[in-house]
Amino acid sequence: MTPKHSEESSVTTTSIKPQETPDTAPKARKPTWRHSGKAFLFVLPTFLVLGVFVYFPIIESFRLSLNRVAPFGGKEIFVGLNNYTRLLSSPQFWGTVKVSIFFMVGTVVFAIGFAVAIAILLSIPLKRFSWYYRTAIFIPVVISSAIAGVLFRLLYNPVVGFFNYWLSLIGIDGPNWLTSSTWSLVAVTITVVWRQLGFNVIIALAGIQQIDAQLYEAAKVDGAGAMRRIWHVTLPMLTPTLFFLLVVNVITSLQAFGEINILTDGGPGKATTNIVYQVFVDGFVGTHFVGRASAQAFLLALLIIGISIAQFKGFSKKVHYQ
Amino acid sequence: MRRTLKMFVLLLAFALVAAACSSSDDSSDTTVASGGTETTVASGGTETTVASGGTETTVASGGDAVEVTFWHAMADDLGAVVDGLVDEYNSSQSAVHVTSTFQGSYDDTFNAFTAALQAGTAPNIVQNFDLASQTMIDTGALLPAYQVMPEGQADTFIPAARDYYSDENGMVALAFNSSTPIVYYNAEKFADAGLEAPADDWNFSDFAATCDALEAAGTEFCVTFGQVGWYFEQILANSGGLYFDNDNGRTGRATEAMFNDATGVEVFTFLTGLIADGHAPNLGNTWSDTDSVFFAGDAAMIFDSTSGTRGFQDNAGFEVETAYIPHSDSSERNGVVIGGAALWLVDSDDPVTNAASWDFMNFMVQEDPQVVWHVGTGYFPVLSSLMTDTPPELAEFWVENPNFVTAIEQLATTKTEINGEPNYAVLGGRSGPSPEIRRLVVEAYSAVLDGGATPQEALDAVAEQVKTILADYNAFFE
Amino acid sequence: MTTADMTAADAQSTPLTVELEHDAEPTKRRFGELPIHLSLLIIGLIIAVPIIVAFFMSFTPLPEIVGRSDPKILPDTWTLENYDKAWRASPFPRYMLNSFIQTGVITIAQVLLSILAGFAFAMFEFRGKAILFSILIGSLIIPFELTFIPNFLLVSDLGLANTYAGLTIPFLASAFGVFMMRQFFMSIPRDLYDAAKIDGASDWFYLWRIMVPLSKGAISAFTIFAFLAAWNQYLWPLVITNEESMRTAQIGLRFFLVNQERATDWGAIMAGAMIVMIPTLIVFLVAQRQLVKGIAMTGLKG
Repeated sequence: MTPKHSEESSVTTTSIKPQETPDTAPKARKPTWRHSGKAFLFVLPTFLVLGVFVYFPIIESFRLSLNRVAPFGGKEIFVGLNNYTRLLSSPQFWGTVKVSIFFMVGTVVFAIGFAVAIAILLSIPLKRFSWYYRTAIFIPVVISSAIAGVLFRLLYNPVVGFFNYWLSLIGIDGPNWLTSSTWSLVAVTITVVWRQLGFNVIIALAGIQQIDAQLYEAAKVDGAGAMRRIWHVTLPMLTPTLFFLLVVNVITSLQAFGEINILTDGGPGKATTNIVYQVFVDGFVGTHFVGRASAQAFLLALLIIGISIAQFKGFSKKVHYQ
Repeated sequence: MRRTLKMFVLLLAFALVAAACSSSDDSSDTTVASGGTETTVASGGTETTVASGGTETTVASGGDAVEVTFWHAMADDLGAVVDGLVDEYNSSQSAVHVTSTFQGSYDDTFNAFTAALQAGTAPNIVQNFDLASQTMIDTGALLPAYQVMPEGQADTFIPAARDYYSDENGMVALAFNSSTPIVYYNAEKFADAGLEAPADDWNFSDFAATCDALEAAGTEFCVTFGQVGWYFEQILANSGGLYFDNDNGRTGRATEAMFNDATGVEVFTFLTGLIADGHAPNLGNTWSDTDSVFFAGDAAMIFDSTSGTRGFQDNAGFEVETAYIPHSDSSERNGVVIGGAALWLVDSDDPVTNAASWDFMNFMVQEDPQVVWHVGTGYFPVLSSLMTDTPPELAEFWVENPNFVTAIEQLATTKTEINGEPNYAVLGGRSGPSPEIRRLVVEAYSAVLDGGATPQEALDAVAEQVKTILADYNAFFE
Repeated sequence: MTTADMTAADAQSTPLTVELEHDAEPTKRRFGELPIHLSLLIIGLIIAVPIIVAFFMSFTPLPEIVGRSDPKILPDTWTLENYDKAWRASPFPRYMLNSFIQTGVITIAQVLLSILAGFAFAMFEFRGKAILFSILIGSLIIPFELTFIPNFLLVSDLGLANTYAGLTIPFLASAFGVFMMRQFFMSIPRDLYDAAKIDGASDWFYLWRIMVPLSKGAISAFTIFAFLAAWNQYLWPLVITNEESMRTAQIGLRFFLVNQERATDWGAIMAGAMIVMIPTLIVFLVAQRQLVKGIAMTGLKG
């Protein structure tokens, strides 16, 4: 999400909510170009940077995806949609799609599920220690993907790591976290979930605290217990927040990169290579395939943009408004 | 107020500059090999004269030293030896000053170099690994060594190193740190199991018998090795198998993989089988995690590079001995491909700088630095004079450290010719996208160990992809 | 989405502060607070465990780390040797300096440019405003993955790889920041602007002397976001730097880890991780309220 990573700009869209209220700003008569000069000066620097480093690259990226680019020297051969057709018919590409979906589902289910449960606990007023709990629980929000990768690489290490040692204390023979193709997916997901959790809890907690206390009172009068109140008041009233979290987590998990780079380098084999990672490998590692990398980046972007737009549409329709 | 205004103007100016820059054309990199110019760099008394004929450029000592940048891939202790040699060179003369930079692993260095070519910030000398040779040549950014090398110097190198880094015109790069894989073993475990030192030409069956004996004597794992592409390539060569068509890409550009033939499958079955059958732990694609297992005594043998000889000998809490790598049951022992890396001279378009760079490269392959390098690391000396006419201190060192000799002899006994014809198997596969192809082979390990594919299926799948990759690459040179 | 949607969206006055201490649901305290304390304590510990482990291991001598089969969290003997090793073995001081420069430039530029553009979008009427605003918002849904290869090629071609300019230039502006500033500026009553105008204040004066001081909360929240985002960047600095002397702290740490040729020196790596983490941890501890409010703000439907 943008608050954390400007690289991952897409998520910020979530902060724009279609509103029912009309624009209240005074609408002056149509300004002249001359009048507009001052305003242009104010917005010019922003649009220059965005123009060069966001808008132009979109076109350039598409152009590259229609070419095969030599690994050095910039020689290009135009191949039309060949990069795309090859990708769509290659099991390797669909393998990376599968990995992306695994991370997505894992992150969405666990990072949101845990976050809501923890937020409900945190929303209960306590006389003391509240600050300490919040600090400990929120802290991953400032942790970078590189740090998260390094910390968990230690924990997963079969020789000096702690996870398998702790598991052995309760009689479990721990898995090969980073060298088994199944467990490495789990290991990366755990790391991504951990880092995402702080953000999700903060959002969920804010959402819970927006809920009108009278609704709880009413439920209580009707004789609803704590669990029933959570089920029938908190969760339904939280749907807008949950929807927001869903979109943010889907997009963030599709963009998981740093943790993979440090924990597994996409391995073993291609077990933890998601689309983003394959873009990186094709574009920057060993022999460079810039055209193919661009084509994959384009497909990934279409997916993310699609999800972002679906969010705008879905937001106004599906979620529960007070 | 005024300050914020200033800030605004500054930012605006910056943004405008950024926009202006972006619209300027990409500067094209033209590289002209500076053939036919003679350049002399006076390096502290001794004069090095490069090439012959044409104009002459001389750098007088006493003036400002020529700055030369050198990128290398040697980490930690190895890096310290490199830096020591660079310091020695710098202090030995005043005409040239070399700045060395550690660029990370071979892969990282290679990536950094291709990126730097694009950006026009390439160093003058880059150490690049064996696999990148074809790509290095294809960049066209290099000054091939044969253009600056005095006649006959190529023959001062051991033939394996000379041939590996040669094209049809001569040596293109200077072999510097050459290594091959060997088997390090825990001598105590071998003694406990009642085993003799392995024979030089041991095959897979001999290896399996050794494993059985070791495990019967109580060792948890017979061997440990990382799932890197190198051991497959080397054991394939030792078994006489080819990696690519067109004689391993030596008599024409490689167009398809050969490693999925019977020999390749036999080798890959051997390697994956060791892990699948529990003779070796599954540690994934690693160069370092295997060491912990070997040092801890959990594995009796380890495949590793000869460059680790010093490290293994000094860090193990037990006696470490060395053996040759095994070969397939259906082949004779062929020998190994010279691995490691070479020094490449990047054409700077400035004859003075090129000459200065060459002077340093040349220094690195002289006898004394090569002895320092060999003794300090285990990479073997690349000069044949050190083999035939061994200086006494080196001879003494070899007597005291027989492990260092194994690597040299393994290479020296490699069959470089069969019936008078070059043995292309031990020259190693050469192709442009070799780094990518190695990556695919590494993935094939997982396809077998995790994905349930047979070695044949896994290698066939890789070979299928390799065909496309090679065709795409070669298309740029048609 | 249409421009109309957008203008409608931001006209709404989003509450910009969230009172997290507000007690939404007083739960019946039949069992007292103890079970809640216990569960929160356990959850907090589990979440903090990776950081706790790293913290203590950074003070543990290497033989203690590798030489035992029952790893312990607390060191038997404490040592600063790991920090010394991390600080010297790889150029960590330089990495940190690079990160501070990179982060400083990005943060300052994003905040200033966002204030300027946000002000224009909030207060001025001008030609093409609606279109420009849609273009701006549209850029928010462009994932970085789509743009970073062309950006890499462009920045390299300009010869800016391995320079501070190359590290920072693609991130000098933030569409999110512009949007956030605009939202906040629009929540300030327009009467104030009109009154200032009548008193003869220039737009420039009004922005810096009245708007900005009034918007301290929103600006500092965005500053924190921008700082954290820039400090924690990974993919871009990974591809655009290849000289050791230009690596950022995050990338330096990565190379410090993967370049360990022989048995990995975990103590020194954890010391490196702690060094890299410290600036963000300080920001978190000092500005936790601000940060939490800022994040909460992005998620509230208002």
